[in-house]
Amino acid sequence: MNKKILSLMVFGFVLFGAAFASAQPTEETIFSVNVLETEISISVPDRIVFNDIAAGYLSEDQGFELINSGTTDIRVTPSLNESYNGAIFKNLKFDTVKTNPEMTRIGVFNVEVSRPNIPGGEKNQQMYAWLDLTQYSEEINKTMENHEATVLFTATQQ
Amino acid sequence: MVSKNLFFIFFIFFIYSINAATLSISPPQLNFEGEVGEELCNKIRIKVNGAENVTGKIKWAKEGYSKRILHEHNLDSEELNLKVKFLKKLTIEKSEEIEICLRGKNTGNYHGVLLYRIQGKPLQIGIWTNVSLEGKDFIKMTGNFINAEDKEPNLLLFPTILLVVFFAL
Repeated sequence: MNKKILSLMVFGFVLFGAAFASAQPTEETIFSVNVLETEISISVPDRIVFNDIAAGYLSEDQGFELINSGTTDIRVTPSLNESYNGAIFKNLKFDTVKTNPEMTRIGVFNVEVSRPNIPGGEKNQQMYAWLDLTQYSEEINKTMENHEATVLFTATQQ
Repeated sequence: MVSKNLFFIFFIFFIYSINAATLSISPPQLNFEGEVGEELCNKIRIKVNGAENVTGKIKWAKEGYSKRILHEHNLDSEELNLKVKFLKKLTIEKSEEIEICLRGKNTGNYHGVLLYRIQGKPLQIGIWTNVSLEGKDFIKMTGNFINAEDKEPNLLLFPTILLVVFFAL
């Protein structure tokens, strides 16, 4: 028999065998998944700037987002950095709604942000901040330009 | 017109990306269970974007308090006779595993919060820390040792008898 025909037949057998094997129903199916670790993950904006304000006034609201990109429900508590020794930002207030807000003072306020709907996704919580100097009783004798305070957003598992 | 819109979208994305800080820690809770005087260790993983300087501290609530209320956790480890070893300052490139080891002198249940923050950034993550220590603590052990009403045999009994016998002879 011609070598060419022989090798063609072998090739045909191999091809047929492979096709037959792949068509056989398997007895077990392997399920596979990546299980993500339980993780706290949060993003906050670096800087929030208010418009000019004076004693006796309430600032305009400043909207920003807290982003939960972890895999667990979290509680976020804003607090003034220990190094801040001024009085202005002690009147910082927060709420999650813009209209008819309750505006809770920093140090007392916290907000719950649920985990993302899909693992690896993000859950955004809309937030609003106000600087409420309506009850600020001290005289401000000199304009404080670019008066700053670091607000620390601490996230913990609920 | 299209290129202007594209530039605007890119600009918004760019502003957003440089203004948001991100920090991730796993797991969100640590449990330390063991004996008084025993060194108990756990590990956490901290993730950041790029390379960041990270600082850490731990605060505790009063002994027996276990509610997850952040401002109730204002005691230092020394105030509860707890010795906690962990890196308080480190530079992390993307991700790093850190070990936290703890040793206590007194029995009891302690609830703490291990806080890590990126230096100069406005965010911090708190890991709830549950500690349960069993066994005899140092102060009680000393009390038992000199307690005359203790019914268990103690080491003072033998020298006392020896002394009485010695003087009787």
